[in-house]
Amino acid sequence: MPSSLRSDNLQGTLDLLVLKSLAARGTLHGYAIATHIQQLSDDFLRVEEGSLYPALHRIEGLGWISAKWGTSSTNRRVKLYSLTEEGRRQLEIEQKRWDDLTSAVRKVLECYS
Amino acid sequence: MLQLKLRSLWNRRLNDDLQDELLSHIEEKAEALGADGMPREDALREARRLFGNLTRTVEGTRELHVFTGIESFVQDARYGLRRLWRERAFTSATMFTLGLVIGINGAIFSIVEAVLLRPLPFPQPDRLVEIYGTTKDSKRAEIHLGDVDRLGNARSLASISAEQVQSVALTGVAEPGRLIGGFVASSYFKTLDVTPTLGRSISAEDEKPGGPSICLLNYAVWRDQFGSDKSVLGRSLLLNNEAHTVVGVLPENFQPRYINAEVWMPVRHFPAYSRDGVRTPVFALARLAPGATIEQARAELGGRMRQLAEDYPATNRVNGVAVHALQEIVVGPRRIPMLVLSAGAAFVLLLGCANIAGLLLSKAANRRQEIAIRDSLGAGRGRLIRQLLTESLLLSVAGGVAGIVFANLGINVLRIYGPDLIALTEPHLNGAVLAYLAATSILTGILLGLAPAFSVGGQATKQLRQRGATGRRRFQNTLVVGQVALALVLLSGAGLLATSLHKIATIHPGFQVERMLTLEYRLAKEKYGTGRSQTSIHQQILARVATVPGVESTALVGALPFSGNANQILLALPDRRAPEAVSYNPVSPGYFRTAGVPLLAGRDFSMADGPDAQAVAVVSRAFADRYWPGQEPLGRQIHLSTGAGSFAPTTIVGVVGDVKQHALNGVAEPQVYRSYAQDPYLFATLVVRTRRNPMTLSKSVKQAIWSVEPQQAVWKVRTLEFVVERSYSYLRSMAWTTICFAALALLLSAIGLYGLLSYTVAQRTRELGIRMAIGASPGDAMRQVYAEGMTLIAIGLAVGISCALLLTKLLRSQLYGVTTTEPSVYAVVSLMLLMVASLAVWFPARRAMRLDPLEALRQE
Repeated sequence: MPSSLRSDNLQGTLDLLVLKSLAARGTLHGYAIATHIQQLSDDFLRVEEGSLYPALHRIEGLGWISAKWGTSSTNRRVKLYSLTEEGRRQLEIEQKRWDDLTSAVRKVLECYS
Repeated sequence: MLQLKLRSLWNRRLNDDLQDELLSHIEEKAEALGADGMPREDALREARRLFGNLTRTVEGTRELHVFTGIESFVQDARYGLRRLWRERAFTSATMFTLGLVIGINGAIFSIVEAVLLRPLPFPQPDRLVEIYGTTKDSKRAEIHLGDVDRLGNARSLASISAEQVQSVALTGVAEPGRLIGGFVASSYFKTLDVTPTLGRSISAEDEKPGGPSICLLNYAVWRDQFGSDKSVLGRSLLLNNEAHTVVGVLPENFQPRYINAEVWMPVRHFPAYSRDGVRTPVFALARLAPGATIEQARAELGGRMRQLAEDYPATNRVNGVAVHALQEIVVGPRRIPMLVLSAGAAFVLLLGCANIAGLLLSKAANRRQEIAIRDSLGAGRGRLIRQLLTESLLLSVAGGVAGIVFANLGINVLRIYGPDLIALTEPHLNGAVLAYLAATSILTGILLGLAPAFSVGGQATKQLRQRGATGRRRFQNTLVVGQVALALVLLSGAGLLATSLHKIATIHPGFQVERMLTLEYRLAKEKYGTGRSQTSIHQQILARVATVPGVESTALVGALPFSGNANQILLALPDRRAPEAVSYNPVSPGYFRTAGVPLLAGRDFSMADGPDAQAVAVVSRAFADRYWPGQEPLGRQIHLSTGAGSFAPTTIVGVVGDVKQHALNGVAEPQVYRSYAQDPYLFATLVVRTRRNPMTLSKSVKQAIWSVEPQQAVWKVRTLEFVVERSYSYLRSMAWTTICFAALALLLSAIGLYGLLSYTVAQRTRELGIRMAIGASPGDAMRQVYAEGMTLIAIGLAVGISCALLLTKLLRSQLYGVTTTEPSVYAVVSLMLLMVASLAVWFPARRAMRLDPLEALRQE
């Protein structure tokens, strides 16, 4: 298994991943978001709970996502998060920023390869 | 109340919500693990383990909410208070030190506020200007009353008023005394925009010759001498033996700091008033016209004065003007001394901060364990720093409260011992001073909190893991160096001022200061109109005072040295074209002997030098040296002005030693003396050489005068010593204030160094133990600690000296006879600091020597 990258190492990356997950899957609770990211990245990205919940509450405070209590597929009372309209716009911005960043990094790396 | 309840409800809900959310997360995870075949119990435990520190996640998430921020502050504060209470000794010591240094700053700021920042108590004080004349050699001089009238219609001025001040005899009361008289034009109070609190102001009618003789009283005089009695209006006062009706009392806040007058009269009552206005020297107070600037006033009035000088060449010695903002006249000379004192106080504060920072540092080190545990229990780093900051803020605010008490004490001490610094203002703990105290203590708290917070916060867990780490001592070392440097700067400043004070105090003024009683009086003009009658009554007074038991000798002088009085006379010499103004003093026979001025050649005046005898003069050595260098002055003739452009030949019969007239550090100007009998004068200063403490004779001397001349007002009854010492009392106040600062600095830095170095030794116990275990002698350990401490102190001295060389430049205008780089001053204060510092280092070093290596190694 490749050494996993802590998701909070790159600032804002976790926000982007959370927003993207919610955009793709609609409504999710915290654990589902974490597993979703972990599965899609083939276990490369492991979201730590100590980062996830502060991030969720922060993003919620910013108004990008909204939360309400509901029931999970396992019939448990869980807090469900979904993307707001503002969050959708923010996702585009974050996505663009990420693309810019990665292409910039790639350009530098390819220069010497 | 409701809000609090809501908040705590909300908090509880937030807590439960968060708890539920995170628990559901763990359960979901356990579910997933269970799906892989793990038993339920194990799955739950594993899920919990994988989740990590639940509390910290809760804390981390909770902090994102505003209310919890406040809540955690309250928590921090409560926790901090508990700690401070538990460590009462430390807390009270810190509060005392902080209170002292903050209080000193508060007290100094209160005089800065009163002296520099408080505006003059008039409407729009920045529009008021004072106008002086300037002579050809650009000396400041009085202008003639007539010229003030002619400047009245200047476009740059809204109004202008003549102003003069002189002592006024108050008679017709139980004990004749004096008031300081202000002689002003009727426009004066309109210019200032001041309305009497009782009665009326001076009217144009009062100004006319033959008009009613009136006066206004200052509030303080009315309160203290007339018991705030409203029936004082209409009462008649005998001022300079003329009845003046009191028509008004000025408001309580009318305390003009540029003039000390107590009773106000129209300018025509000024003793030197002449009806043509030409020979009445006055100053002028004016208010700028709306929109006009002080530069415009300078240009316009300058042009006018030059024109007047051309139009009236016979009478106008003054040919230019100096226009100064009134506020600037009052505040200008005070600025540098106040800056010096503020800087001194600020340095004491910094030193106190460094001192307490050292204490907190060693305490913070002791708390590493506690902090590390709290850290691992889920308190975030930010939260820990905030906790430390909260504690230091609590300390500094407590110090600030103590500071209010100390500031109040300091203000009272300054009132008693430094009246010169306060300069007729009333400093008190007003809003501005309290705000300053609050700001200072909060800043102090932040400063104090940040240092240990950063040095501890990051290292806490690391420290727990690797116990006994030596840790970085850079911050401690900085504190040692800083304290030494700060103390040295303060000591240098105090040293320079003290040296100046010593140099000035040991200058010989040219006369004997000890055991001399002096007082002033002015004979009634109406009663003693002729020169002969004046001479005769003066002589009777002298004869009677000489019989008072305890009196050695007595004499009269016109302008007592250092009293602020001075006379000049125009002198014409055969070989010089234009007459020159020289210092002049009328004296009675025996004055030189009484005052202790040495007679160098010729003779003193005698009773034979009467009005009909040959006109004679005695000159000072400087006078003889200036006009006849290397030649015999005795028997030469000079021509002295008798007023109105005529000169009388006068023969020099004696030469006396030089006398300083104004200040010990001034030059002794050439001086001419004549006898009172040949130049009669209403005003006189009586000097009485006594056999014992002069002030004990004041009553009997006054009685002696009244037995000759009942109802004669006498004033300024004081010793010559007081008069001379007053001339440099400002320097004395400055010097003693800075000496107090420096002494406190010395004490604080000694305590601080002792504390910091003891801490260093404690920190190094293990290292020193190892050294001793492998063969270092106790002496070696001691020497090492001592050498390291002294190295830091040496660096501190070097830093301090360089800072002091730079900073004491500020002092330059306050010093006398010493440059700001005087090596001996720096050498002495460095040595002093070195001695105290080495003592402070010696104790911890001795402790290092007494270490038991076994104990030391076991300790960690």
